[in-house]
Amino acid sequence: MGQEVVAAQGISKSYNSVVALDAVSFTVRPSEVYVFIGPNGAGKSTLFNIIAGVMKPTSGSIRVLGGSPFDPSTRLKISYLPATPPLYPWLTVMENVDFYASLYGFNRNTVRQEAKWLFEKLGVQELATRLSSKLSTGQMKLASIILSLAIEAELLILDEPTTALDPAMRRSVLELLRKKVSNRVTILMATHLVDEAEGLANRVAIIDKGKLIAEGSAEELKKLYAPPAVLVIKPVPEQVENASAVLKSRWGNVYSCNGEVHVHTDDPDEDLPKTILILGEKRVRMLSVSVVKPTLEDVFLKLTGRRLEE
Amino acid sequence: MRIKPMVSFIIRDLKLMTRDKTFVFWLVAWPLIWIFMTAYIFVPPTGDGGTIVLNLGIVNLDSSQTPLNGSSLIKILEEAEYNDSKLFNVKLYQSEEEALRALRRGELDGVIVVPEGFGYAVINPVEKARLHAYVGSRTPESAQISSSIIIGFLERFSEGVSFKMVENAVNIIKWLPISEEEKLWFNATVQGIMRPLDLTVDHVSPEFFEDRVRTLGWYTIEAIGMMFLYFGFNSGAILVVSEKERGTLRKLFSTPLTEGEFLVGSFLSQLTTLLISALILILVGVSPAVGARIVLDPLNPIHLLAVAFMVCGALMSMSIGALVSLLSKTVRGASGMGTVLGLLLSFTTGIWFPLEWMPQPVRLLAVIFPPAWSIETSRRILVFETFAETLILDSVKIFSSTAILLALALLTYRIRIKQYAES
Repeated sequence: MGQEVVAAQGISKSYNSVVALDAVSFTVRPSEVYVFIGPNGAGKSTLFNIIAGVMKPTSGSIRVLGGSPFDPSTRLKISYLPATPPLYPWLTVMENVDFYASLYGFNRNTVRQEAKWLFEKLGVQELATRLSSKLSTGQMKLASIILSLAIEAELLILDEPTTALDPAMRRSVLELLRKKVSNRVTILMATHLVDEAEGLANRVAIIDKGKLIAEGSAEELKKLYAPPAVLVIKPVPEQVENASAVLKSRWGNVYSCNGEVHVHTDDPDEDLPKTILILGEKRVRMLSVSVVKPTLEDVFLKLTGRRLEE
Repeated sequence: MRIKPMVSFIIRDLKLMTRDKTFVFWLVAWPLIWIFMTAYIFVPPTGDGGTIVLNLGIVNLDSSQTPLNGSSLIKILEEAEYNDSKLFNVKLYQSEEEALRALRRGELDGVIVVPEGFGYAVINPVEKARLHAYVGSRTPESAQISSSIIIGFLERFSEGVSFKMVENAVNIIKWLPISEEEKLWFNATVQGIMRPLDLTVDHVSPEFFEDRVRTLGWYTIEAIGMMFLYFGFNSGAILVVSEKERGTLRKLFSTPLTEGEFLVGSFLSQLTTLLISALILILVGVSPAVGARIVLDPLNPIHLLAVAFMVCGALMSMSIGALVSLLSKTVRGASGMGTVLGLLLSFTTGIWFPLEWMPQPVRLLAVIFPPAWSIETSRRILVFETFAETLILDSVKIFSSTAILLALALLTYRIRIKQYAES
């Protein structure tokens, strides 16, 4: 236990009769990127608030960096980025950095120096002197990330850090996070973007309706829960529902998303021609058909019967 | 408890003070507007701002060719003064009907009709000179004032006429074969009958109206008290809920910041803001532009005590704001309630209007409202330099109520922080 950065045992949290977390247990090891994936309302933010020492669990125990997160000396080693950008609108981004640095009691110049490096690395130096109230949603998110990374912490807790960022900026942020990990920082992150989780995580935990339903590396999870392949059929837009209904009558694991129909298959060589034949008989016009490797989204589908964004 | 985080709260909010126009308006501009309105409209530097001038219509039907006739009465009315200010704006009318129409339209406060033969009747000892007055009554208060001024004036005029007639009578009897002593006795007796009571009247103003500079000093401290109330209530009410709505509350408590540091830091920051604003108001108040009298000698312990009372007033206002926060879960609701309640109480507890102007039941509010004690006591010291005999008792009351309200505020905030962090 002494080596674990986070050790959660049977964490539950209820609001009146609503159960937000139900006996969640997991451990995070040093310099690990541990990513929670789950839909909105799964309990990720509640769990992070508990780990960050903001909220107390109804039951269960939590140890962070060998201490209690409700002890200020433990929180000195944690930097938490909540889902909502925690910026004071009348302060510039750098003044926000200064303010939070002073709450840690850190040397202002050291934190400023780190923040400047982050602004430069992300190519957004102009944001430093801008009032937070004048930032766009994406810029606010970026400023919040810089705010959290500028603090010299042993554990970074990031709740949906890349939401509202454009793909290029998201890649830059993920690169920075990898660099942090190489500097012996542990990252605990929540996301609903599976490619992000797969690209960054050492281990992934799938959380749904307050329960941790699976945990392991992305590869392990896919091996355990995902099919060997996924057939991706893209019908003409007006025939997506029809194609989905036709295939569901033949196979069980059929899901529609973004104008595509996904079919989980154990034998793509056999099922691909059959699928094309069946859809052809029903006069479904197809734009493309492909066989792809499964993702964590498919793991989640398999475990919950729902998509992450549902 | 660490100093650095608490100082950072003060710096954070001072930046708000310099950058948010709405904040600056309510904190500094609005009380200054009131101070300047007081100095230039309600208590103007010169002129007759404090004296009531009545619009008086005169219908002069008298054509007597005597020294004291209708025309000379009009001249007396036009020249009548009170406190070196004109008492009447006289307007002449040809007929009683025309004057009464103007009175009904609210253009006049009163009408005096001087009948034909008035001048002859005045000098005729066997005949009574008649005058008829109409008093306008737009409101019960205006009727009371107009009536008192017009009737009071005419009674003094009547008395003046009587003395003139006695003088005439004495001139007649001096030809009679009676001794000089008897003549003097007759004169004194008749005057004694006319004026049996030798009434002397002195005007004593309430303390705050003693002189203009003190009145302005009174109103300057009042503007500070009013600002403490509406702004203190407001800032106290939104202290925690604003962090929640902004999304900063969870970030704050994920840092090593303790609840105590947050509350003390936030309170000190709000207090600093209020005191800076109070200092600006005092400096403007005592500047030549306003000319208020406020005496603050930093070496005088009583004056320093007055400053401590003002600090207590600010702290109590913020603490009451904390209690208001229990009534609302949004910044909008808490802020609205805090501001309205603060303004309402500043008007009804003797902070904005002198307590003497309040109806008796409302005065009870000032008796039970601790921030009003601190403002009133510091005002007595800084403006009137009167160190009340009850100073020790006042100090005990003010300091202990500040401590109690602060404790209640901290308790309220702890409850709110827990609720908001958990929700």
